[in-house]
Amino acid sequence: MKRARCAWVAAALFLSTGLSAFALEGEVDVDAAPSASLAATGAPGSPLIQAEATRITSQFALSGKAAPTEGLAISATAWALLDSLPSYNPQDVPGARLALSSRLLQADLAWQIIPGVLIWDTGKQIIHPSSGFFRTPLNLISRGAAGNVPQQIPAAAPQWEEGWIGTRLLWMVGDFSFEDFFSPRLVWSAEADSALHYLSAQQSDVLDQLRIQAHIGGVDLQALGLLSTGGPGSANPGAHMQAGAGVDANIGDSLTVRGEATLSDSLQRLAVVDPRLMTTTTQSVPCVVRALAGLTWSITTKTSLILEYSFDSLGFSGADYSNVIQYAQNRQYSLSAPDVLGQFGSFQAAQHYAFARLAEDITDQLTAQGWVEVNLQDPSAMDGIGLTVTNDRWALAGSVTNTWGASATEAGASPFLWQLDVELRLFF
Amino acid sequence: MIRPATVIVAGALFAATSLYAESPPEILAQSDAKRTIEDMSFAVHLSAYDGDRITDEKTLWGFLRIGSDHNRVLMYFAEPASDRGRKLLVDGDAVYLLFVRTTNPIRLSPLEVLTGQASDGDVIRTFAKDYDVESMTETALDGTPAYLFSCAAKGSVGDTSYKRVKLWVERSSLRLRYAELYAESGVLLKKAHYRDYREVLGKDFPFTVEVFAGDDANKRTVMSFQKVGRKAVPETEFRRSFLPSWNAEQPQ
Repeated sequence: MKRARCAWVAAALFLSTGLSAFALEGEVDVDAAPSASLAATGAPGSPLIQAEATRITSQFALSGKAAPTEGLAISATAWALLDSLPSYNPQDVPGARLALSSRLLQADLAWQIIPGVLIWDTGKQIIHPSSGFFRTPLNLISRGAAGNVPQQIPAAAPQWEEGWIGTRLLWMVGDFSFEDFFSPRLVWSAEADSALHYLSAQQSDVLDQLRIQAHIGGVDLQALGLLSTGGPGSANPGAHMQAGAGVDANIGDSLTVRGEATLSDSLQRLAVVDPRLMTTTTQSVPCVVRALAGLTWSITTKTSLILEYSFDSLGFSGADYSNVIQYAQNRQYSLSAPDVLGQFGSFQAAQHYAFARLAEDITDQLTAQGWVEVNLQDPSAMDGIGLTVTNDRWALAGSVTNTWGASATEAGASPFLWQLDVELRLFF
Repeated sequence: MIRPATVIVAGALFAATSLYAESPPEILAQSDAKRTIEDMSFAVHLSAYDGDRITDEKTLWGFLRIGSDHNRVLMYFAEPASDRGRKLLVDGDAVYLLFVRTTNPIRLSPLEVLTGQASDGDVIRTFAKDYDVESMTETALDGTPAYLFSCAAKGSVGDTSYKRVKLWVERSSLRLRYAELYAESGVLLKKAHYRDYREVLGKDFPFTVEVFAGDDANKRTVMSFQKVGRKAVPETEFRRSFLPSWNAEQPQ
C-alpha cells in the first residue's frame, strides 16, 4: 500500500515536472471574410446576380516543446477551427452553420544521435522543401491549408497545415545533407474516423521521400525523389515516382533568386468532355512537369519585391483550356456540376502564371503589400492589397482581393468577384 | 657591462618598433580578436527608436562560431510573442529565416533587417577577414587618440553587405569605438557606436552597439547584450538543413 502510494507520488512529481518543462505557446486567429460571387437565379440564360456571404473562422492553436535531455526534443501543435461557412459556398449554406474541426498538426520526437550530424525524428511532421512563394512545386507531399481557411497573404504554404505521420533520418556531412522521410499508409473505418478525424486525417499512400541538399560556393542546391504507393488492396495500388531539383542563391547584396522543377510520372485531373453537355472525365496525365523561377529584390531595407513565374503541365492549354472556360461559364447556372476550373485551387487551371508582390514596412509595426497573379494564357488577373499592424501580442490585418478579366477568361468564368478579409491574431 | 637605463631605453624602442612594425591589417585583426569570443552564446535585446520613442523591441538568443572562412551565427527570436519561434542563420553572407510551423528556411538578402536599423550581420560583426585595409591614419575620436581605417570589401567575399567601411579604433586599447558603413555607390548606410566595453571570458566585449540609419539621428537601434557566455556548438549545426532541428535554448 505504502509502495503504491510512493509510486503515485513519484508519477505525479514526474508529470508535474514534465509539464512545467513543457514550454507552451498559443495563438488565436479570428478571420471575417465577406465575399461576393455570381449566382444563378433561375434556368440557364437567366441573369446572374451578385450574392454575398461572410465566412467567419476562429482558429486556436497550442504548441509545446521540451528538451528532456541534451540532444532530445519533443514538440507538438494542436489546432482547432470553428467555421461559420464550412463549404465556403455562398449558394450552399449548410445546416450546421458552425462546424468544429480539429487536428494534431504536428507531434515530433527528435533525437540527435550524433549531435549536429545524425538526427532521427519520428511522429507527425510537415515536409516543405520548396522555396517558392505563390507556387511550391517541391512540396510534393502537402495537405494544403488545414480547414481550407482563406489566407491573408497569397503564399502557397498555408499558415496552418497538418503534417504526416512518419519517421525522418537526417545525416549532415560537410556541405551536404541527406534526409529520408518515410510515412506509412494509415487508413481506418468510417466508424473510427468519426472520432479520429478530430485528431488526424488518414494517409492513403505509403510515402518515401529522399532529399539531398548541398551548399556549394554560396549556392544552395537540392534534389529529391518521392516514391508513393497505395499498396495492395488500395484504390491506387501502383507505385508512382516524382523527382525534383531546386536552387537558391544571392546575387549582390539585395537580390535572392530561386528556381525549382519537378517531374511526376503521372497525375490525375478532371477534364471536360463536352462543355455544353457539362460532362467530365478523369484523365491520367503522363510526365507532369511543374516549375517555378523567381526572385526577391530588397529595393531598400524596408521595401521588397517578389517576382515569380510558374509552369504546370497538369493545367490546361489550347482547346482543352477553352473547353474548361466554356464549361465554367455554363457551370455558373449549375453549381452542382463538378468544379473543373477550381479543382487545383483558385487561379491554377492554366499552365502559365506570373506573380508579383510589393511589400513595404511603413513603420516597424505597419506593413503594406500589394500583389497580382496573372494567368498568362487569357490574360486575366487576381490582385489584392493589404495592411498589417503587428504588435508584441497581437496583429491586425485587412485585405481586399479582386479579379480582372473578360467573360471568357479564368477570372471571368469564375463566380468569384471580390473578397474582403479582416483578421485578428492574438499570441500568448 | 650594460646599464639598466640602456636596457629600458632599448626595450622601449623595441616596443615602439614592434608596434609600428605591425601592419594596419594586423592591427585591425588584433582589434577584432580582442572583442571576439570563440563559440559565443548570447542573449541580445534590440530596441528600435524614432527620436525618443521606442518603435520595436526584440530579444534574440544565439550562438556565434568563428570559422576559417567566415563567421556563422544562429539566432532564435525569443520575444515578442508575435515573432517567437523564428530562427535565423547567418552563414557568411547567406542569411536564412525559418518561420514558425514551416520546415524550409527561406533565403534572405544580406540587407534585410531584423528591426529598425539592425541587419542580421550587425549583431556580431568582425572586419579584418572580409575587408582590405586601404589606409590607416592616426586621428582622435572625442579627444581620444584613435586609428582610422578605411577599408574595402575583399573581392573574394561575394555579397558583403557593406562595400566600404570606415572604422575608428582606440589606439591604447584597440577597442572599436565607431564605424561608418557604406554602399558601393558611396552612400552612407549606417553609423555604429560600440559602447559599454566589459571584460568577459578574457575578452574586451562591447555590451552595447548603437546603429544609426545613415545621417538620420532620429532613427537608431540599440543592441544590448544581456548574457554573454561560451558554448561549443558543432559546425554542422550552422547549416540550413539543420535549422528546423535546432532546439534553441536560453543562454546561461
